[in-house]
Amino acid sequence: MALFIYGVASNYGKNFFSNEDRQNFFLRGYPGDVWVIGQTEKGSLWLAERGVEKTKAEAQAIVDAEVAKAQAAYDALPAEQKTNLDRQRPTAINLP
Amino acid sequence: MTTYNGIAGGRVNFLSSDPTYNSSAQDGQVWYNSNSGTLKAFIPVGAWASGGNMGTGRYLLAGAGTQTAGLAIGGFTTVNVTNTEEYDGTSWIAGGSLGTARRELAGAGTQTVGLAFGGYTTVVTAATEEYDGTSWTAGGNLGTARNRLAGAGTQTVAAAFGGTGPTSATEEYNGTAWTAGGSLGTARLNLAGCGTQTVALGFGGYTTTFVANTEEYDGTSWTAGGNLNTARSTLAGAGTQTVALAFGGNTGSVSAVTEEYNGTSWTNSGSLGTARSTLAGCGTQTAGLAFGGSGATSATEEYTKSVYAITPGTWAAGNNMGTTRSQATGAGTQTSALAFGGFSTVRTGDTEEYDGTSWTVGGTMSTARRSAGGAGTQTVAAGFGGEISTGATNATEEYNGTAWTAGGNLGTARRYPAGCGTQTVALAFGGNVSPNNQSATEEYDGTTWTAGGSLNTARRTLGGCGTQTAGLAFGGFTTAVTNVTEEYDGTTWTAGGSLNTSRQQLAGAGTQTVALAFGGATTIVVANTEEYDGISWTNSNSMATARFYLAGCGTQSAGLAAGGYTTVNVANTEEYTGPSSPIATARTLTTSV
Repeated sequence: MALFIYGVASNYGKNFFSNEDRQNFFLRGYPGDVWVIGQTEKGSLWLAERGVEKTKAEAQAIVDAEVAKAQAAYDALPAEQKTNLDRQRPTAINLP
Repeated sequence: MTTYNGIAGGRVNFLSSDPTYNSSAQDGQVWYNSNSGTLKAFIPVGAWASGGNMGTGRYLLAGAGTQTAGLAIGGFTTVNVTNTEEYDGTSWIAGGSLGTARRELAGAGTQTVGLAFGGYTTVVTAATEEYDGTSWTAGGNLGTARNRLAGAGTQTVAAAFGGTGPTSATEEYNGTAWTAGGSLGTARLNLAGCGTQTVALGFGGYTTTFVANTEEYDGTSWTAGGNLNTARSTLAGAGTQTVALAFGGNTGSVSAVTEEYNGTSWTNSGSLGTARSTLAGCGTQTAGLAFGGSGATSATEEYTKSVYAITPGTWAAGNNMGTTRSQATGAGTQTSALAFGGFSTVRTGDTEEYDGTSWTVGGTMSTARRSAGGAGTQTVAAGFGGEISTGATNATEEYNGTAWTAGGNLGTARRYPAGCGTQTVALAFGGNVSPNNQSATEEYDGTTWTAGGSLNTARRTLGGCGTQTAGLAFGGFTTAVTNVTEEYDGTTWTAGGSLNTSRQQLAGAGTQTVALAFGGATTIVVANTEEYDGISWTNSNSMATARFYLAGCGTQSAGLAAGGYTTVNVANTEEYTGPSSPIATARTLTTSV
């Protein structure tokens, strides 16, 4: 059985995930409102109530697109602004 | 990858209910409670609490019995005394007087079946006395008169070992007479002892120097055990050969150090409330008693080792900020927070206030800025430094819960500093004045900034928390991301324990000795959370959303993360709830003598 399920859900704030949720299952947020959730009964229920399940490939494609967009925005900045931002060019993210 | 199985040699058990704590063999056991959905562990914690004072303060005395049925025997005030006192777990009452006033003696047995032997009157003595809970009567004399010795066992099956000389001699008592036993490997005086006549433990003491040696007796011969971590003399001991407690003593100065022995090695535990030497002790490793000692103190302390089922800390979602941004500054608490400044599409002076449920708009800063330092609370805050359109600024602004007004300027304009303290007793440290990272610290009195001691490691985009006189700096960027932690005492920064994950652009919360670090960037954005205890950082559960340039505030047990940058600026809020306090399933160990 896979360790994780993948989905898209918009973080609406309070109670989007609780301390109990975090203790019950793995949960990580990624660009594009992509979430990686531990493959448990409670994890599956959490996603079903809040968003739409995706395959890993679909979720990865959404993240890749967001990263590409951020990289393009960074690359378009003048050199001095890149220095002033004091942050690196966004790097690729590989979902677990 | 390191796994729990690889470390512990077994997988985490899934249990529908918490297991019962039966013995110290379960210390550190981790399990997953599938009913509550929580990961738990048995964490033993030893601590001393004050007990009732003795009627007669004294030192160089002997002890016997248990924590709730203790016996204090003889000792020295300004003269040798005959006083015996009995402890019931709450208070001391006078018992029968020794026949021979003396100090530097040893004791064994229980409160009602006690034994006192050796010591110093005006000369070294071999006298033995037996206690019946009411009065002392003469027993058989030691073969070799000696003082500053140790003892173990019961009234009728006792052992005496070490003492002035120093001597290695051991003698065994059968209720009538002492006979020679096997010699200690290391002759010494001022040692401590515990256990029984045939399963005894001797530890610490003095030869020509303070020693850490531990020796184990089997009724015939002594063999070496694990050394104390702190070499010392005139300490006290309790427990058995394989479950012992050592506390107090003299290391060149009086010591409060407590150590627990497991039959192989000693581990430091919670210190005595009052450091002291020449004290007495009794009881067990899980329920010890310390009384008397240097300064002729009457102070009594009770040691209790409790085991708690601990649930690790986690982050939960809070409601989003009204303004998506990174590089904002945080102040206040988890349920009464302030986020101000930052960068959305431009630098902003926007302020938002969080009440634990939702963010509402507060007064706007006069000068829009990002990456400022901050201090104070939601309604009495200070923001200082940061970056404005022309570069680093030295401007300070003060918030009153409604509006921002100008405060005194920093001596050194800087961006990416850290800050802590209150609006009128604040601290600013580190940062950057392009292109140089800063080590400068400045102290604010509500009006003026003055120079403080410099950080040892100049850096920017670091985390900070604490107060003006007990500040903490951690992480940041030097020529690379760093894990360096420094502690400020109001004058000087000194090294603390390093973060497990080097990073910059992180957030912090809490105090110098109870701190929280979260988020940031290494070469990638991270969600890592670490807790600091004044000595070292320990990993906790990560935030759900990795981010850097976030705002943080609160405490180690109730932290707040707001906004930040993932691949875009975000408005997400997360609330940290630290490891659970000792819960209802906490169980205090008890051990019969």
